[in-house]
Amino acid sequence: MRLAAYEGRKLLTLPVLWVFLALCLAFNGLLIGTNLDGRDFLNETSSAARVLGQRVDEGFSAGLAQRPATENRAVLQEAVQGMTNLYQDYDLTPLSDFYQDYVKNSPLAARAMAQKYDRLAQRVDHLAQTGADMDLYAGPVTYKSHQFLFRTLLRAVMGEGAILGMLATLYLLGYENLHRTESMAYTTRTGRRLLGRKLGVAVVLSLALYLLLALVTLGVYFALWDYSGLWRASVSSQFNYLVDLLIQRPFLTWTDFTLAGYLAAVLALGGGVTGACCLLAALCGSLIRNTYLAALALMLLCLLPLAGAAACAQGGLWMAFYLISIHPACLWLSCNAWFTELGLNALVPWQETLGLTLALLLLAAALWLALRHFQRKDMV
Amino acid sequence: MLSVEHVTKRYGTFTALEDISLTFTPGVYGLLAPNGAGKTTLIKMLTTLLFPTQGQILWKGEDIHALGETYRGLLGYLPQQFGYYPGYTPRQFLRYAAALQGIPQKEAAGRIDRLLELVGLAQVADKKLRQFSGGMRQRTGIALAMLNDPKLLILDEPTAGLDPRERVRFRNLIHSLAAQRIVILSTHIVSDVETIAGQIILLRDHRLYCCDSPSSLCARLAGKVFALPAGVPLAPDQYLLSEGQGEAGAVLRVLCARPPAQGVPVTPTLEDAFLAIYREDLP
Repeated sequence: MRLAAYEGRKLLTLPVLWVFLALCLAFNGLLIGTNLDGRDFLNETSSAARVLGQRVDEGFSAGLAQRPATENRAVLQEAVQGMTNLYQDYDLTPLSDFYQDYVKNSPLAARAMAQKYDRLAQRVDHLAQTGADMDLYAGPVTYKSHQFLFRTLLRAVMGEGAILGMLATLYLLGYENLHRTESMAYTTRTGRRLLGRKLGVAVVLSLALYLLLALVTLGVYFALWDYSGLWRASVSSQFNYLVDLLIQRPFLTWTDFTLAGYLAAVLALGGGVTGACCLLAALCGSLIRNTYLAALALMLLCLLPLAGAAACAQGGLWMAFYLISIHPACLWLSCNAWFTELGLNALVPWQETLGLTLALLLLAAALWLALRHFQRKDMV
Repeated sequence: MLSVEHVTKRYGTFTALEDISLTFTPGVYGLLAPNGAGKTTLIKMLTTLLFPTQGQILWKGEDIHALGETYRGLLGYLPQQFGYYPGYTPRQFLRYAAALQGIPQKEAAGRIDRLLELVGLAQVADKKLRQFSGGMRQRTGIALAMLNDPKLLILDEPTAGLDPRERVRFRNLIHSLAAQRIVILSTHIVSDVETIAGQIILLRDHRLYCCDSPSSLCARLAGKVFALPAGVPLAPDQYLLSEGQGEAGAVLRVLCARPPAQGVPVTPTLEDAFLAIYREDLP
């Protein structure tokens, strides 16, 4: 523990870490500050839902009519009057056919797509029974607010957390090389096991920094946007939807999620992505002694899969595309649609979760091998 | 007891050290050789930073890599380039090193105070290392090397960058630490070891040349070192060892088998032996 405290101190007393964190928070603040359209409407809707509940039925409509007459109330009333039982007869066949045709170059991918949408059809039946489509969520501003929260804000938080985590890991692992204290450190009783200790501290602190970023950013956001009446809304409300390859479809998740549950799940998976990025950085840091070269290698390892995935998609190499998609950077890109069918980005249900788990296992195995190699490496 | 058994170190096609065999018992050993001879390579193998290509290094009959932390726990090492954390004070840096050595906090605090006193840094124990001179940092390194009360103390070029007064202070310090300990002092500065080392290890052409006492090494040149006035042309069989100032002006120390004209026999020093062994005209 004492050693962990010393290693943690090295990171936490690094001024540039706190400057970067402050800049990230300032940027997130800017994002929030420049996206305040619809706030009044959402806050009023949330206030109504807090009193009337999320399920839109006769009681809801009657209750809404009793509320103070405002322009927002009028808009909301018009929106709920137009609600239908979306999932009752919702047919996924056109969507399934579209994606099967899209990936037809790979018979395996086409078959998997078909199976995915067959499974999704069962979810649609379930949601029809639960009536999730009749949840209000945030009414007509649902899509905009949901996408801002998950595609813009949380993607920024996750990206910042991942970058902070990677830089922190690289810095800590390369600390002795930077200060030319390797000869001192690795000839002590702790010896080369120090690298493993540093990794542990780097991952823990990176996750803590990610959590700090998320808490402060979301704290500011939810101080301005009143979600108190929206937490129990189903994210599969008919007001929420996804767009992939220009095709709009409902926000269909693989399990029932309230907004609160969905937010928690996304934050948790985002923590997993941060952890995976730390492991990737540790792999580079343990194999390449020069910290700057390790950072360059890490950057390439993050960017090349993105380019590779795009190239595979362009070239119709679908199985390669889906293999690359388990890379943390690819997972991060699709964070606004996690736990849904993910359109073209997934072959199987829960692909983002399975992909991240596989990525973590592979990275952990690679790192274990790298640390073993380090134990027998000449410190020239 | 530390033994080096037929150790060879190669990097690809380059052989840094070939078939080195040595045995160390408590006392001071000077590892003396010119730059690039393989001293640091040998030192790094003794300190587990490098792995021998062939051969093994044993501590009391057990391989030092197999011993792992047990061996490293009795090792004290001052590297050639002593790295430090500029923002730390020597006390903080030693506390960190104590954590790396697994020394309990309370015990470490007492040891650190005693060591800082020993190396003359007690008054500046809480000043940042970035404010220290080279000699002060080197003394911090010595304190760090002594932190775990090592049975094996290895110092690689420890007097580099020290002024003459600090050099003498350092020699006195090493002499006082050498009791019941193996001290290996790697240097290319002869004066560092000639008064304190019981054995001198010489490397030449990446091999062990000899391991002998300073007096024995000097005795090999008995009757072969002469002082000549500067300006006297040297014969083909005379090798210039060094130039210096005598009472009557500049003086040349030469090595030759027969007494030269105008030559005055002088007592060979360890430096003479070093220069003779490593002279460039030798095959």
